[in-house]
Amino acid sequence: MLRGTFLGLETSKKGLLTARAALDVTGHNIANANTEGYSRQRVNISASDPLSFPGAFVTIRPGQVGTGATVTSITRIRSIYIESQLHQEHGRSTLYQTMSDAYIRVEDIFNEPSENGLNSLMDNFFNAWEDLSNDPESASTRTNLAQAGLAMTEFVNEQDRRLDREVANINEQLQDRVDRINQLSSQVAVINKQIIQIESGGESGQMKANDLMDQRDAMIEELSKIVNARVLHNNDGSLSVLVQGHPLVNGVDFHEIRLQQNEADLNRPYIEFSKSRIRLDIRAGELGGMLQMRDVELPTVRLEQEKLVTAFTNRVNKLHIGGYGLDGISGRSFFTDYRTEQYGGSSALPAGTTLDTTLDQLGFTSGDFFIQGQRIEITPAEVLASTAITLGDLFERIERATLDVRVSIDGSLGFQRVVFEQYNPVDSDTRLAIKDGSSNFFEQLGFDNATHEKYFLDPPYRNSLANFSLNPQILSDLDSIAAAADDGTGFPGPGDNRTALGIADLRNDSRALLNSSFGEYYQGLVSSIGATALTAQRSHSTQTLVVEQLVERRLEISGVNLDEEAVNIVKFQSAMRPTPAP
Amino acid sequence: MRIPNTLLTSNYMSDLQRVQQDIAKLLRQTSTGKLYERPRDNPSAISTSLNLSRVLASTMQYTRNVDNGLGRLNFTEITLSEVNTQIQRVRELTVQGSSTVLTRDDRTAIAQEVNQLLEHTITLSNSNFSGRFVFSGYETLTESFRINSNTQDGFTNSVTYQGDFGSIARNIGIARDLDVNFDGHSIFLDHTWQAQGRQMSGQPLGFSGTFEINERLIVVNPADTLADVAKRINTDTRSEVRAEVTNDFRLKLTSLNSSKSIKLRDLSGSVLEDMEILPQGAFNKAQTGVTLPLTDSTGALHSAAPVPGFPLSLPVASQDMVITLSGAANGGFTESKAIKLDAVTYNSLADLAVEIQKKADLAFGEDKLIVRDNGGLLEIETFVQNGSVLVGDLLLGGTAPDGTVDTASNFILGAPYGSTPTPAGAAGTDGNDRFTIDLGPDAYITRPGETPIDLNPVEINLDASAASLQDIIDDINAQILDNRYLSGLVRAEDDGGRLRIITTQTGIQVGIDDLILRNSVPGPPVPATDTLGALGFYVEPTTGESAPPVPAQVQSSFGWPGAIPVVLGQQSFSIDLGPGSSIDGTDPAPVTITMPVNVYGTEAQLAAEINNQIALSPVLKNAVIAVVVNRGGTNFVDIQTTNVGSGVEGTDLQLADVDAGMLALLGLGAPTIPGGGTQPGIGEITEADNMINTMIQLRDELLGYSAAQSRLSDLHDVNGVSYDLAPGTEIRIFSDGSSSSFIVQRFSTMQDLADAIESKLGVSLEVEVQRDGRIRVFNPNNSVVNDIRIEAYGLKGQRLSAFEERMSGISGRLIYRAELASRTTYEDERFQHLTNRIGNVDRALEKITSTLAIIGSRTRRLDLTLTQNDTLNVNTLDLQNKNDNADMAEAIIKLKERENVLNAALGTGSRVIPTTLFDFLR
Repeated sequence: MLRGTFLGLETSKKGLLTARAALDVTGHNIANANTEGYSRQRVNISASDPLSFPGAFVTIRPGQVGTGATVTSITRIRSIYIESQLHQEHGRSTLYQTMSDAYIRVEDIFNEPSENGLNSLMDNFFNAWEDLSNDPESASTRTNLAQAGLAMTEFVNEQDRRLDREVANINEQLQDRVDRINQLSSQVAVINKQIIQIESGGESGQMKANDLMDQRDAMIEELSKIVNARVLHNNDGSLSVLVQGHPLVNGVDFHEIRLQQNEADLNRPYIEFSKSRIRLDIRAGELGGMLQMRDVELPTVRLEQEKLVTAFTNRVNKLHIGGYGLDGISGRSFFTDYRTEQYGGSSALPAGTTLDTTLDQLGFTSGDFFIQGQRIEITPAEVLASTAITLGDLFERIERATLDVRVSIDGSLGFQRVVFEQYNPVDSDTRLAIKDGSSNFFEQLGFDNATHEKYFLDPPYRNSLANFSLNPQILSDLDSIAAAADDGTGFPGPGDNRTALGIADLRNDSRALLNSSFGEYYQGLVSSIGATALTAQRSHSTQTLVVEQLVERRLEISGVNLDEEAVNIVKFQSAMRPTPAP
Repeated sequence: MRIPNTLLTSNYMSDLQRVQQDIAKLLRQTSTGKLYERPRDNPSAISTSLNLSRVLASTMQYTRNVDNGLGRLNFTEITLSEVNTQIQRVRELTVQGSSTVLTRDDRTAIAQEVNQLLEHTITLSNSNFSGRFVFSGYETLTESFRINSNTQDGFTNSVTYQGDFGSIARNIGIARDLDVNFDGHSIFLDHTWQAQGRQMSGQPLGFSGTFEINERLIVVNPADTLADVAKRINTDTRSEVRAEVTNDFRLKLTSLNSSKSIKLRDLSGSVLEDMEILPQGAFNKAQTGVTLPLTDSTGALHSAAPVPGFPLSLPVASQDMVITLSGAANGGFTESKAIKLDAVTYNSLADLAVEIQKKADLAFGEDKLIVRDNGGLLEIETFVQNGSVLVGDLLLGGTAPDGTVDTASNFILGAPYGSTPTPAGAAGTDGNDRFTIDLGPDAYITRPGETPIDLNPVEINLDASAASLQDIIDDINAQILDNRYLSGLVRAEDDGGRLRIITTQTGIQVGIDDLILRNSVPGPPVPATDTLGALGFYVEPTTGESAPPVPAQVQSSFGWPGAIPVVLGQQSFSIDLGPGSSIDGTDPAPVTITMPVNVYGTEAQLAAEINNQIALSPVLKNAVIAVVVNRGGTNFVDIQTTNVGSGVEGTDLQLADVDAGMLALLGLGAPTIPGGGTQPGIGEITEADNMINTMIQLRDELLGYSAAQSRLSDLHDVNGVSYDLAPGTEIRIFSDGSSSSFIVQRFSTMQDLADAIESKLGVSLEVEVQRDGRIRVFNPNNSVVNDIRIEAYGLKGQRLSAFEERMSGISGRLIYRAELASRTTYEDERFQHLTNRIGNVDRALEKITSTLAIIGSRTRRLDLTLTQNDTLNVNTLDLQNKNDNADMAEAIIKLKERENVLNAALGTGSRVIPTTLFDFLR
């Protein structure tokens, strides 16, 4: 059999075309050497199918004739493993970055250390009381004190507003991010479709939509920064993107998510799938960081600050109400008092019961009980006739153990009964909770059928930060500031400074607020804010390094090295030159 | 490993950025000087920083407090040093003044200097430091002391403390307070009358009633605590007493007046008080003399209640009384003499005193002893230097007004004139109450040129606002004064809690003591009311007779005046069948009856309860009974012997207070005396040895100045009973057989009277009015003064024996006593008094010195605190520097280092990066 005359030419042409293709890809690589997200491409060259010569003489001259080289496919050099690692680490990095950035604003809200932070303002407030104790008769020390009080209340009110604004900002940003996620995931779905079309056009595994895939990868990378996304590679070249195990993109389908108003808490809209209404609990990425800030970090900071202000208001007021102003009147609070709730015994105490009556005289038994979740114990020794503590001692113990409870003997119903009142709670949701422990303490106090009253305030009570203010009476008449004490025999006189000394001494009261002083508590709060911020910042730095390394690794694999490409050019150019022509 | 080109640049860029971040941070450190900007920069260092700034702020504040305290203490120190100088001078003057060689003019000069020192001391006591009175306790805006001066001579008679006992502290460190004030009372009025009650509790008192402090009414309700009572006492500043509740719940009373004592009196709310039995155990004023305990035949002590003109009799034919006098003269001596008293009836205790005086003068010689009726107590004093008197028992018996001889009870039982103790806020004073006062047909008035006339009854309308007996009395007296007929003839007065209306027998001529009181019966529509009954009059005299003294008790029965309803709270009293009674021949021991806490609405309820209690006692059962008796329309609860029980004989019954009245309930049964010790009963101390009063007394003693300027027409005793001498009264002075007379003019004073006496006696004798109100006649040459007798005659020529008694020096406690102290050595006494004063002056000095010492130690403590605070401040600042501030040198060097790195990196980068194989291929 004769071979065709031009078989050799054809082989040469194939070689040239193959080299040409390889040169083209190399050029493409060089052109994209600095393109973000570009993965270098490689031409896969293989020998084309040989020709066989079947015939009678096969046995004589068996063989196949090579037909030259051909391009089987052009593929991206990319590691899926690194890619998926990168998605995860991106999520973590942005989580910490978001928190770290948000904490900068929290730190600004507290403004420590500075001359204008609450630490200094509290110092000024207590110093003003000390100055008043040095000269209780004067108007100037009173003015000074009122100003110090105002500075503090205004600072705390501003903190309340800024903490609220922070939540509002996060909610706005959440909407923005959700929109972006929808945009990205819908685009991914579109690209998926294009890729499927392209790749299904050639023989299996031959057609690769490399540049589209790069585009899609860039989108997914952005997505993984916003939300913790996991990627599944489908056989048809498409990708599925999962969030918390739920598909955001499934091949050519994309599932929209939305920010849904939370009926239970208007300030906390949540994220769900628009159609399936599956609620998403996002723990990573920017969204995770925002939700963590909004739902955990900011409420914690707020609650701690509210506790401080509640205790501060109530401790100062308790002393102030018991003192006498320069006008000889007692019973006024220094900060505005908001009474929110009251529990009163329904049966009368024994006639003649006063705060000096001992528990023994009232026939109390030992045991324990709970107020605002705090356990209070009366030991057997405290109800013995010889060592019995008084009702007044017990009331003080209860008030000390709680932030917002005051206990008193009330005669407003025409008989003497014990009344638990809640003043200035941390927020309007905090209820007055009293519960018996091992003994029937409340029954002993006459609470067999307690009368309960909740006070609805106008304007409504929000929380101890928002409602922290000076009693308007104090502002309108400085003489109503109480420097004098009450020893049961009337106004002692303008020179009496015992209440002022008592309030000034609150700064050193190591049990003012849950076994620490106000200053220590505040200091702990500020330092824990700093510690959390620092942790977020450090985690972000670490995470940035991890991401950088992964990006490096990716570059190592997918990046274009111009030297290499230059070698390839030389290689493929030389491949063109010596192709033999018959 | 493949190195793609972009990898080089991206690594290069991120490294470069890190360097730039470092540079930014270092730049910030160098520009602010602070190591940290926000909490995350170093949470624990920020925590330390906050803590240090708090420490710093409080330390600086403590320093301010200390400075403030120092200023105040220094001021106090300067003031008290000045006081110290004043008192030192007073001491010198006292020593000078007690010299016997001084003339009267010398003494006057000294007295005037003392007065100046006094005035200056008072000015110092009112010092203020930048507008705050430093000695006023908490009442810093009130002048510490009010000056009560005599309007006639402008001299300070006493001062009243207007502050309180508050102590003002400065906060000088954590839980470190230091007092920076001293209340003026503790310095200037140290040693003033105080009373402290027994321990009570903080609970409501559970009993009710009323009592008086310095004639100011205090009401106690069952719901009151001790603090409420104290508050009520303090609210009424006119009592000049401050009440406190001590930490162990005692009521403590302190007189705020430099000279005035505290007078306490139960008005209602106690069992035995309401039965007209006064608390036993009178205060004894035993300084250089003794007070004779008056005992009845049972040996029981008798009350200190004044006994105006009540007849006494000695039950035994005659009695011996042993008086022992000892003294320091002639190396010390002791003399005992028996005095035999005749068994006669004495018209008053004063008469008895006169009798004893006479006998004592005979036995011991003249000018040794003074015997007198001191407000119902027989008092025997000696003028012997450093002398003392001991007196044996004296048994007395009283004749009850109904004529029966009362051997067991005593002479205080009688209600003097027609009225029972009138409770405060007497029921019935509602504005419609009125009664008439009528000078009866036997009383007549003669005015010049008129025939004697009998007056129509005059109606008295009671004011509804009357809150106390004194208010009612003032009201009635004002209306009497407004009536031209009654004015000067009739007066209402407080006779130990009773309203008493009497004719005064002075002024223009009035007939006999004829006085008729009658309930007004006004026409419709105002209904007739029993005003007199409500006022406590239980017998309405209807005849022209003088109101007869009606016995509140007959023998062996004790009346309840009807203050119903009465609230009782566990009061006890005892019922004793006295020695005159016996059961089966023996005299049983007293039985204590305790009244249960209750409100007794009627007398019958009360009697029933007493009988319940009596029935519980085997002794009293069948021997004693409580009955309700109606006298004059008012119900009484009487406790009587029944004599019906088997073996019970006799009618002798004695009641005694176990639980005294209201005051006892408040725990005020045992007042303390300044300088220690307790005194049984409710007493008063007339000596107030505080700094101010000592100076006032010194001045007055040196001046010989006293009540000399008080009007003869305005003499009254502590009970408010008037002994005035109306203009026109004639006083006759007898001496050496001759006599002269002195007619009381409208504005005659004690000094006028003294001058009149002196002009009568001639040049060799001097007469002066002492500060204590006594007129003293003495001989400057130490020779004996002859007998002087004083007689006083009213306008109708009647003898004014009451005044004469006082002039003879044996009468009761008058504020302005008039006493003729004849035959005594004046100089001895003066010396004695002044010597006593030196003790008081020394004590005042000691007080000042010790206070100055306290101030010194406090100042030292403050100085020390200042130093400590400074050290603390420096150390804290140092720590804060280390903690907060950037180390500049370090920061700058680091900055330079980073800058170099940056520069090098930029230089290298610019050269290395672009090279690729292409460059060679070209």
